[in-house]
Amino acid sequence: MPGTSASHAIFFIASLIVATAVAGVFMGTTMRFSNDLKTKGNAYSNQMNTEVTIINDPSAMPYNSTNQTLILYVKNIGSTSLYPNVTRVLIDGNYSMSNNLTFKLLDGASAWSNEVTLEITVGNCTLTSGDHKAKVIVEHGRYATLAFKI
Amino acid sequence: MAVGLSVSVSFAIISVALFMGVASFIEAAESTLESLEKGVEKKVDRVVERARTKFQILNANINGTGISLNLTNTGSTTLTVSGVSIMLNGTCADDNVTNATVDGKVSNIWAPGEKLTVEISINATTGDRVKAITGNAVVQFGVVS
Repeated sequence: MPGTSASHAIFFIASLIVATAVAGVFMGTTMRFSNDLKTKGNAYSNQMNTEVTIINDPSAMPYNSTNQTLILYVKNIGSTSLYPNVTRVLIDGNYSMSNNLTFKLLDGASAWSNEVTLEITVGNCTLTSGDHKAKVIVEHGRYATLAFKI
Repeated sequence: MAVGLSVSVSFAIISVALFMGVASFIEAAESTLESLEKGVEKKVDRVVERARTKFQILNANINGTGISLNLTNTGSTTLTVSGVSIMLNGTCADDNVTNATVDGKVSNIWAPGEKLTVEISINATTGDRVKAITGNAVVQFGVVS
């Protein structure tokens, strides 16, 4: 009889441990999944709120062949402020190193908010006369492209 | 008896975990849908606003040491004066704007039907290319005369 009670107790404790483990794993997985879902939702929302456009005149690009500098003007037309320093530029598919980029907010703006134009000076940029393409990538993976001629 | 109790307690533990997990998932899904809904709403607003934005460059004249531009808001969207960018021969002249008035008064609101006059201190010659861009990126081209 005591043997039976002991084995019942052991089974009872074992079943509790197994149930708790199953519950723990389930809770942990659900929590992780929920957090990922929230993060992904926020990322998509940020992407939708982020929009920029290159406003340069494609027929009159400010390119200085002596200094090898090209100036791009990028207007924030989204509904969120952006950090200029994380902006990256590709010219004809070639990545411009961050130390070749100089950023300046125009019209005395202190933040790159909606309707504010960012001037990007791309240094060490050699362009021959003809058609070219610029791509500016901002936060949240959003980008703008411009086909222009020199 | 003990076996029955084990099953009941285990079932209760798993049920509570299931309930809490589902509740957490529903909360996350709701929050995600809400942020997506807001994002879509703002995006649609921007697209509609852009579609309703229209303006004209009436003239761009050399005026002393710079140029004077007259633009009319011909759309149905109220625009901001600070959002307007002017480019002369490809160079943005936003930092050279000396005066901007709407129907002769200093204001940041450029309503439909109103005339915006922008004075820019910049070297220009007849025939120079002018590009005006509104805050929501609607573009018009003109020539200095």
